[in-house]
Amino acid sequence: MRKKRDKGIKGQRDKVVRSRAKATRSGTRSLDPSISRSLSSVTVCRCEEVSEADVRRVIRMGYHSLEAVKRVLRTGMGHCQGRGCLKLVARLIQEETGIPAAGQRQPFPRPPLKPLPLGLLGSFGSDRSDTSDKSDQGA
Amino acid sequence: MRTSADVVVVGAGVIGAATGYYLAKQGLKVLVLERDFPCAGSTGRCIGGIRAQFSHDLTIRVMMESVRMFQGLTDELGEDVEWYQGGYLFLAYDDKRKQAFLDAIAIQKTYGLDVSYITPDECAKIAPGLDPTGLLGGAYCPTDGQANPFKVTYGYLEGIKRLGGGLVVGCEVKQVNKLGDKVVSVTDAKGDEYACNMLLNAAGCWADEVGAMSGVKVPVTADRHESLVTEAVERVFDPMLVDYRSDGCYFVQHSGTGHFIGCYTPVKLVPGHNVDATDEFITEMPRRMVRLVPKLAGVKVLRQWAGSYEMSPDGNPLCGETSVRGLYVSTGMSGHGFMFAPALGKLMAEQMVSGRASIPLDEFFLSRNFGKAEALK
Repeated sequence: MRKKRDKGIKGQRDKVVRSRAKATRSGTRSLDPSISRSLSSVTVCRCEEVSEADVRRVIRMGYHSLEAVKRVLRTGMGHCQGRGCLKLVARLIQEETGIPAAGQRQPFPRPPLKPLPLGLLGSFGSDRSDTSDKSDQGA
Repeated sequence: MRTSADVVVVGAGVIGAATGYYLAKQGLKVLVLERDFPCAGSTGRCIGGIRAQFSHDLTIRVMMESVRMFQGLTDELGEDVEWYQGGYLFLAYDDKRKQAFLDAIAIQKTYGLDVSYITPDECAKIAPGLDPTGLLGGAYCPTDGQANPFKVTYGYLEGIKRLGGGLVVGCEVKQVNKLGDKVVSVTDAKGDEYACNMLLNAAGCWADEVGAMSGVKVPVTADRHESLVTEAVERVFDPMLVDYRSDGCYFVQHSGTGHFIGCYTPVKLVPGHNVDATDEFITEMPRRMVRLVPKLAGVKVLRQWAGSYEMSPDGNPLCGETSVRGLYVSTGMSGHGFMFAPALGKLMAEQMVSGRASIPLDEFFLSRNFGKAEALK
């Protein structure tokens, strides 16, 4: 378990998570309100506060892969990066569609496998600023 | 198996989804074919910024329309797309960049965009925690913003279904069939045929391959760009910060959740469809972020990934009808497909249905001469 150490940005994390959970409960994640919410409210993804009902609803909308469900519900995008939820989501996909859980494509594991502070990672960054004015694109 | 529709769209990224939606709204039956899953390409890898600060006249006009449409998109789609108008702040660290911003602002203002060049102190007020060291000033537009690319794309796709159209996943188009010089259908890898009056190639950085199936050259090239996202923290600031220095970066705090999400363009471009993440990025990007906003040092990185920009020769979209009748293209967004999508989707739908968009898209037509490049790529 993480200990809450300092106030400031990190100490506020729980507050953000709580407000996000509240947003979820108020229904902002609902993609199709016409489907009843009477399905199980058991939590499948703790990081992103996703319930079994949420997952089943999205599968029934035609999203039949871990990758597709992840992009609708954020299962696997939170703090644990899917360690907790992916197996459960795979099982729900199997139950709903018959596609065997074992054969489903897993989302690609993304570094860093454990969350690390920007300051620590940045200390390994090089200061080799290339002075050539390159084509700057994006944002 | 043979299915037919008025319009077949190749690619369920945000461009295919949005254009398909506005075509369906005009009463056409739309079928979106996706090789993998929706958002599997560039859309699902973008960081969600939306801005009208550009240098090209038509881009500014279309983006201003996009910003207007994003404001009403949650109501339009019945899905919270997490639109948030936090602004964009471009930072100037040298006179050349400052002048480029001033030149662009002069053009943007002629279209009525709320944009101004501000002092370093004002920059630090808009982005509390920004270290003003070396900063000359910034170009700031408060009406720019952000939204969630997944929510927008899935919202459009669900809208297409509501309007009587459909999405077929796991459908890889292998062949474009013509009768004379007119497109009539496509055939996928399983041998299924989809007949159509119009075909839209919205295959992103693979649009060149889909184009080649009908003998149409679509000059897009994929460039790899890397991104990362941090854990969610309390609100630090609203705008997307854009640092165009050669070792700069751009990042924004996600409005709804509090994650920071950002990327940079490598000095040496990485062409091709390789979307591997690198050690260099996950150390360099944090260094650059913390240099700009030191108080972020304790915020933890959750994940890094990479995606492709579908680059056109001049950094502007490649749109319009091709030399094959009924075959249209919309790609080459050069890193701006998500922010282009609502307006360009609507305009392309107008173009396809009536032959003329309410904002004429001629300067984006595939048939144009590729001249001056976008200055605020």
